Amino acid sequence: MTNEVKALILCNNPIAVPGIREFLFYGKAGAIVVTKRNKEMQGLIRSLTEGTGVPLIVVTKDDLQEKLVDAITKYEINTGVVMTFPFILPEKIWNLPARGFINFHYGLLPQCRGPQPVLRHLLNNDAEAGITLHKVDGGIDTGEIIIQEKIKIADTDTYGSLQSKLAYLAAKPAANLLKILSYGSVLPSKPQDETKAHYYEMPGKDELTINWSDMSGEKITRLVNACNPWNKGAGTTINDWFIGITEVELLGETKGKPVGTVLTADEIEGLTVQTCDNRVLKINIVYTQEGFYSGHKLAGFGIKKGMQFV
Amino acid sequence: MLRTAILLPRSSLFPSIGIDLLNGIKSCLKEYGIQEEITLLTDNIGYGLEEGDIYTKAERFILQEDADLVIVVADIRIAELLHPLFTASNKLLMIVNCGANYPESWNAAPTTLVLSLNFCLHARLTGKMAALENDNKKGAYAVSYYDAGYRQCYSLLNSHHKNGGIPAFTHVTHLKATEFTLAPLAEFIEQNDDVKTLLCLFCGNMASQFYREVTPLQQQFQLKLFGGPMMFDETIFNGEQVIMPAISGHTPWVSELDNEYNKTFKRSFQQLPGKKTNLFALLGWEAGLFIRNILQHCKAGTTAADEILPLLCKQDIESPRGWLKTDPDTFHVYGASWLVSCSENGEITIIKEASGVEEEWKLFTSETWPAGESSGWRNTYLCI
Repeated sequence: MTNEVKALILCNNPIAVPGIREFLFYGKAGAIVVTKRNKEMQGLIRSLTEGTGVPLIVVTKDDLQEKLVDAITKYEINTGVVMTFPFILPEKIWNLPARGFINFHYGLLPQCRGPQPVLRHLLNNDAEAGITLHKVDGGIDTGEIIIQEKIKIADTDTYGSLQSKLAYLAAKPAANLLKILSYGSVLPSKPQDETKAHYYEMPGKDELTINWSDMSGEKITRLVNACNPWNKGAGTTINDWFIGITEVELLGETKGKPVGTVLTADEIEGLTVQTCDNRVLKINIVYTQEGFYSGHKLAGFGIKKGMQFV
Repeated sequence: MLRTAILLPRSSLFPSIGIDLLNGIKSCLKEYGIQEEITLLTDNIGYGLEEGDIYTKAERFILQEDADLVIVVADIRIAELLHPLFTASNKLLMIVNCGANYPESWNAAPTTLVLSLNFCLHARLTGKMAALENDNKKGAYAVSYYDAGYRQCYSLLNSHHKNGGIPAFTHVTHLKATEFTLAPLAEFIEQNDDVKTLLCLFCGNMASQFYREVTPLQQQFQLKLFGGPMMFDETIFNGEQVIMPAISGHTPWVSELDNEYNKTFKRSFQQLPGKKTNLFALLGWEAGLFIRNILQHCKAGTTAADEILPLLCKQDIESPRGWLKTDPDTFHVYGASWLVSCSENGEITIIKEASGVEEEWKLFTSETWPAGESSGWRNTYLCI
């Protein structure tokens, strides 16, 4: 490699770890920044950087600017990298390193901007998810795209499994970014197509709750997977009892009952429900205040055949 | 004018690789009367191992030489590093190789065309044939130290296995020619006379060495041999009398193919003093066929790379190897496959054109490389 690269890496989620490993492997990490409230991430970074001499900098929202300016100067940082970070960087910061800041967005841009792209790809029933490396500018996820990698979303993907796949997917673009920074005279990038851009806020409770009268079996399955494990499941109510559905599978077809009707609630056939597109949805795992249970065990809480999810 | 830059490799195994490729391109452009409309810029990338060298030369062609198209004769892995440069500048990148390695992801990059001889696909067809053709499903595998490190080896053996073949023994020969031996394989065959199928993967000098040593083994134990595409490379037989076993397999091209495009290719290429057609000249010729189509689109007013590539997918090409298509899902080029056999006297016989190639390609490109760590060579057929 020819050009010197010394990166300040800002991170707040274990999804960043495979990408950070590449920076450490190539000896290009100058310092790593984690928020004060994220003790798990602090521990992870300490163990990752042990023996490397790469310092860990812990920040709060209040001392962010001061500590980043200090670090960029002290460690002669020329490239900033953001891999999930809860605070918006002040303009003074993102212009400070000679090669600017680069954001690892764990979703596809420009169509999936916002704070929870992994969840959003699942909720939108997208065929593909991915990772986008882009330059940081004044907006949120709006900067010019440098590298984008895509993967297909499997029917069985949960939020957790997709996040894990994306974490590992990021390793290769991270390595390629370092090579491009090292070999190239310019950092190639392309403006985002604003006609395809969409910004998504964090989903609210309604979006994470099953609408039995409107959602097909496949859509319910995708929502349940999208809520597993971080939300413990997709919300729903039966018998005035709010629970989370954590894992389901689609069985055959049925008809004749109102949507959301419990078809079976026993150990042999499990807990099955009719969907609005006349599919039999088997609820394998539920979350209640009392704990996680196999679906059929709701019978022990008075849930019976003929009752209705609403 | 179309400014076309070419990054050419050198090879210790195939010393004329760079010049054959370049001559293939030039002959094609001349044959179709467009050589005056193409400005060719060239540079060399050694054995293709230095990523930084390849990147900086490609960047120079784009930023300083204003190339419209850059052809990089290198393994597919380099493409991922070059994608951002070409996507950002919306210039065409053409990766050219034998297709003995394949990517971990088949995702199309918007400005990258991959032209290869699809060795992995042909190896896959051969592995399948070896499994389906024999009632006895057991097979022994023999590969060279080098060929074992290309993904076509995985393609050949995995296809045999997936189609019902049972791996019975694997022999990887030594990297040094002086220590080349088939003794462990011979010992296994002697002790396991129910194993009659041998799948093999060798190239260049190692192929002729393998042929010499496996021939008596085949005669003694009536082995049925199935080989990867490079085992039918006619340069193996050039200049010396090779002792040959009977062997069959799928390959993209042999010079005996009887079609008018192959005749044109041979006639045109062999006008060059002392030159005979070979697989690398074919690759160059096919790159020339794509340059021709790209030039047509540019003349018609489409000059952006990300607009040209979808147009190329709509144009089937008649190549010396038969039909060629550009897959719109991957922007990889694939083409006809020929089942050939080689007799004991070294003569290649074309048995038939393989059927179901398009279906096999779809299957192939729908599969992902197995998860987990793996190693392999990064510059196929160059620095052996």
